[in-house]
Amino acid sequence: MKNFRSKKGSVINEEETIKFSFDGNEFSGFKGDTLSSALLANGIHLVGRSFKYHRPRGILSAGSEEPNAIITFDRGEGKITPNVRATTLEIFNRLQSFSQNSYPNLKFDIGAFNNVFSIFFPAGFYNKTFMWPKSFWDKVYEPFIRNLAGLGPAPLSEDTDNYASCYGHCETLIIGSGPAGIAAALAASQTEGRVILVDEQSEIGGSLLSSSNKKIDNLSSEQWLSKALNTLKKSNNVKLMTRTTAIGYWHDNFVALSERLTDHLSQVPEGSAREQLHRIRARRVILAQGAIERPLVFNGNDRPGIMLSNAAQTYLNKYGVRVGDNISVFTSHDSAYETAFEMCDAKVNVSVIIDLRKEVNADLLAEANSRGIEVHLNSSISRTYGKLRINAFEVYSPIQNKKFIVKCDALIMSGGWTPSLHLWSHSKGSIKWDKSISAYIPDKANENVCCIGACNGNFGIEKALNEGNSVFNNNKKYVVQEQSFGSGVVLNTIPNYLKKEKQKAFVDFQNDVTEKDISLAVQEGFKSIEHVKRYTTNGMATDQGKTSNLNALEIASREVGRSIEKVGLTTFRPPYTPTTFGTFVGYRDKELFDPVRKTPIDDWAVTNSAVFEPVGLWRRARFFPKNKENMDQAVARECKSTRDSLGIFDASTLGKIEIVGPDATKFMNLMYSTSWTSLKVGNCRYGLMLGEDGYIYDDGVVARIADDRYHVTTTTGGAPRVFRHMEDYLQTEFNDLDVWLTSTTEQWAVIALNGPHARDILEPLIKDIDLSADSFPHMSIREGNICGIPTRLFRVSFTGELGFEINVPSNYGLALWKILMTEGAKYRITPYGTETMHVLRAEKGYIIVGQDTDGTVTPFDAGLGWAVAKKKKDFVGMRSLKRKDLVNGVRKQLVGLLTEDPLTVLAEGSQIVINPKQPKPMKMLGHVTSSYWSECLGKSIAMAVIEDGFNLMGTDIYIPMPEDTIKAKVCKPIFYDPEGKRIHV
Amino acid sequence: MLLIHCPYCNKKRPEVEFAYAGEAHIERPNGINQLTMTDEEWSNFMFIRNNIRGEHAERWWHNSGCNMFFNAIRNTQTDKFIMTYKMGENLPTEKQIKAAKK
Amino acid sequence: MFEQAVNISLKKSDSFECKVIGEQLRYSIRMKQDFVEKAEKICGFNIPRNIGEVESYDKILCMCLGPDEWILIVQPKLKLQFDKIIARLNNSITISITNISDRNIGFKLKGKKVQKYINSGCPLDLALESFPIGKASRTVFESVPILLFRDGKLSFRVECWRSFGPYISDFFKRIADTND
Repeated sequence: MKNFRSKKGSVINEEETIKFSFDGNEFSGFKGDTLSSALLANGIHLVGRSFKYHRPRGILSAGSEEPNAIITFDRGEGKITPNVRATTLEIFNRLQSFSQNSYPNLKFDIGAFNNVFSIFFPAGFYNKTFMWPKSFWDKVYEPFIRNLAGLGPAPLSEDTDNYASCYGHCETLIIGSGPAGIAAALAASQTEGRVILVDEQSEIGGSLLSSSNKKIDNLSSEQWLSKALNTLKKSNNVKLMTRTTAIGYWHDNFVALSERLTDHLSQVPEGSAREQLHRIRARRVILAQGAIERPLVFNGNDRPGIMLSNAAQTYLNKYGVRVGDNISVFTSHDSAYETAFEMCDAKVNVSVIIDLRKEVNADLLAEANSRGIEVHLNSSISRTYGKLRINAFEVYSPIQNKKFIVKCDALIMSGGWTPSLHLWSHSKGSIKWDKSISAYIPDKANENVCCIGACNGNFGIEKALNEGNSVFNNNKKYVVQEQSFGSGVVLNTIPNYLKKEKQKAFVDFQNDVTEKDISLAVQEGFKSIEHVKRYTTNGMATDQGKTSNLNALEIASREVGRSIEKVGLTTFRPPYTPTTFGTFVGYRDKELFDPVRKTPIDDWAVTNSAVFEPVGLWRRARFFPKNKENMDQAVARECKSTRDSLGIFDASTLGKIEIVGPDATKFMNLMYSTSWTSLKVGNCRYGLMLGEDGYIYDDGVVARIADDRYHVTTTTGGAPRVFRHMEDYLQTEFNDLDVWLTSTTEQWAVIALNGPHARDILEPLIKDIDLSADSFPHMSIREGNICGIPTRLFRVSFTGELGFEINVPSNYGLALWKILMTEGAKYRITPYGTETMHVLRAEKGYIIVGQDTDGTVTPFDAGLGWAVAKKKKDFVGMRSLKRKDLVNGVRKQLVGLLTEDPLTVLAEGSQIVINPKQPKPMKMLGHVTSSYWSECLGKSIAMAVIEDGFNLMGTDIYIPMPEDTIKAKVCKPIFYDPEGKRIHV
Repeated sequence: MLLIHCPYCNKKRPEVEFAYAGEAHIERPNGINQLTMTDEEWSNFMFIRNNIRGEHAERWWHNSGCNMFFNAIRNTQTDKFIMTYKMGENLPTEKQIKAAKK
Repeated sequence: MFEQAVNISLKKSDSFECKVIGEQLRYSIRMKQDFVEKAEKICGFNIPRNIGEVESYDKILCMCLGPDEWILIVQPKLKLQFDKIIARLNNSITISITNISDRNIGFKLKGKKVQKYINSGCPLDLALESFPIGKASRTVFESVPILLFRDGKLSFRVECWRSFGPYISDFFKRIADTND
């Protein structure tokens, strides 16, 4: 195969040959090559097919702005990355890469029929075409669009790589390591603060690596760069980060960097992270992102072999690769001349320069002449030829109306330069239109940030160096010998004798948006650039329009007939370049995704085959199946054993707050609708907490430990918000009170014992508390010791049985549980989970906040009016309970339901109607909140909130379901032991 | 991610340590005053908020820090904090806000 | 009988070590600043006045976490002595003392990479200038609230609620495995 290597590239190590494959074919390149430079060195331009029309596409650029050369990078099972830019992918031995969007192969692609019928695929094609008939939506259009969507294939297997993330801090963060960034870093290195210099490429140097024949302070640019690098590496306060892209910029100089650690390696060290996300907080940010060259929008501008002039220059100088053997130039900017001259000087044949401008600097013309390059001014290109690569083009001179054909194997183009404002815009800096370069440049900063060099509209190495330096008020002046950067014009129409309809002039190469599409969008009434963008999809591909946005803007502005400033620019959003999900996830996959909070007794539950359920971040044992029981069977057994003998339950997740201080009772009285004044030390009371809106917020048993000390319990899920609610009122409304809150949820392991034998099991284990019903009645608390462990022992019950809740310090919870399991054997002690707990409490009609209430239920609606103190002067929610609609309005009220067929268990959440025969839509009275099979009662039970429910006692209601309508009777929400005898034994 | 100056810690700390807590300077009437309020007055206190586009007085909670609630003036358009101050201090005057912007 | 949520002891040469701290007495102390002087006299040691300050002794750590909040961490062998101190504090001044010994789990982290590893999930600037030796702060590690105390240039103590302990130790294990 022919070798297109012309000279020694600045980053190429010719000693090290690298073998890689593209579409199954083996190629070789050198260490330092990107996939695109290595393919070009092998004479390959055709690398992909376009998204919509499947047109053959080549390499347009040499950087992360690349829209065309998008490939799939395959490192084996679970390590496939689609849509990688070949221009940024470094090659290594055995690298496997594949073209995309082509079938059966790149050279012959069936999808290319779209191109032939492209007339049917104008802007808004999908919106217009797939409207009718409606019957086609699911079966025809949807699958068809799905098939077309996307570029590379989404990986099918789990990502097997590791990712890392970290926070970082520095005084100066410099993004971009071209001459401006390096000069800024050199100046910053002399300050006190920490400096980070990042660059997305594999080497520090930026445009210095792509240029030749320049002298900086009398050193060649290579020498100067290596000297500067040495200085920076020696500076203790400077961190250099290559292969690192600043992907987003947020408030207060918070910048996310994505560092690629292993994608360039053939041997990845075991366990190491593939990418690392750095979340950097910088005191000051300096953006030196450079500029992106603009393509020319002319008919046939997308053929492989047509590329940006600056890319060709980069391939030549950085990688030593010439992009063709017979090169032509099409330009409206002086910078393409420099590329042409450098190619000539490297003995690459450049035959003609087609320049759209009428006049060009005489020096440039003389230089071209001296190198034997023909220059055609005031000329245009009207057509290009070549199926899979350009082989000729037609020059059109509008003045003379002359046409002629020029043969070539590569055409390089330059339409001027676009400063990279991406991160500046993320930071919400404003921008202004600079007529002299026909581009937007930074205006007012919104953070402590500045732009330097080409991204600030200051082109050329000398300007970049001195601007970088001046950021730190450094007096040094750099002197650079370089060809002047020159100037250019930006044309919003490239002259052509062909009618617009006959032309295919691409603006957005990746999304196949042509000049015509943008014109059409405007004609169809889309005047805002944001609408034009979405209608045409211009700038919406993976490259986010880095090469296309300004060209689209020029065309839209022309069509709308308004100046560019009036048309505005579309918003730049993070990430700057496509970023893997892995980078965002960092370490937080699998077991690190979110904390799973486990109780001290969790280990025992795991060993005893518990089935768990998540409750907030907690995981709780839901039931303990025995001998292949299903949930219903296990729950029935657990319920029965508990009521018959003894059940044991891990209630450790209950929220707990210790409220301490001389004003504790005052505070409790304000926070709860319940009254606390009369609660004696050693007693417990059910506490109902309302929001200021009067609705039930939380509930739980509260124990008075001392005059100035309460042990408050909350629901498991409600613990954090109850704590916040209390802290908020204490600090901001009741801040004259001497009382403090401490979360003690995790201080205590809580083991609930319920059932007729609950006292029997405890008696031998507790010496210092009299457990008899007389001295330790229901709703009281004692402090003492159990098996030598200090305990707060509650006599409470959420089941209606004799019950105790043993609180011991968490680290003793498991030991105590095990003792109780052993001691309880003689009572057939049965561990039960949350599901049984739910059934047992429903049998007693105890509510669960959040299940039987939904944030619109008052204590009176829930039948808990007794828990609202009548005499208190103030408590949270008091006033709202007096609102007219709460007092007089028709309320949904909590009732019980018994189904006509006792075997039918209602579905929770199902809707209730009074007359199932009424016409649809039926009036729905409420819904079922809790519903279970009650093994102990031998029938199903349910709770529901129903409009005016208290007045419907004994009434039949109906629950219409898809299969049939279920009949049930409204009753009081208490099903088991309504007299409450069992709890007091 | 914002940096928020906590007036109790007297330090700028990362946003992840904080929680937003609604509009500031809405004083809860005590139980006695509540009794004389009409339903409409009560609902104004309960539900009606300024929802300002611009400089907004609001409450924040340094929950993963010193656990203190405090007040802030923040521009809801730019998201920028102009100043923060301790609970109980008066709503800053326009002059004070202007001074804080410098 | 004593069993903490996790019992990790991870050592990666001299770059990183992560160890669970054994049984501790922990008290959450709340009082107005006016009472601090009196409390100091009863306790017999200094109580820091400003948020983030720590007084550390051989067997006692006293950290100021909020304007009226401290955490006191004490070796278990001082239990009887502290029972008396606490009783005296309760009787003498307006104070809230709550035993949270088992609420928290503590980790000792040290080694050359310790700062970097903690910064994997903690957003604070841990450079010595901004987080000096002897400073403590409540903050977060990823989504988990933690208490961070620097007791040496390359040595930290991290405390979190018991049930977050396994997550924190798994996280540090993953960081160490990925970076070493």
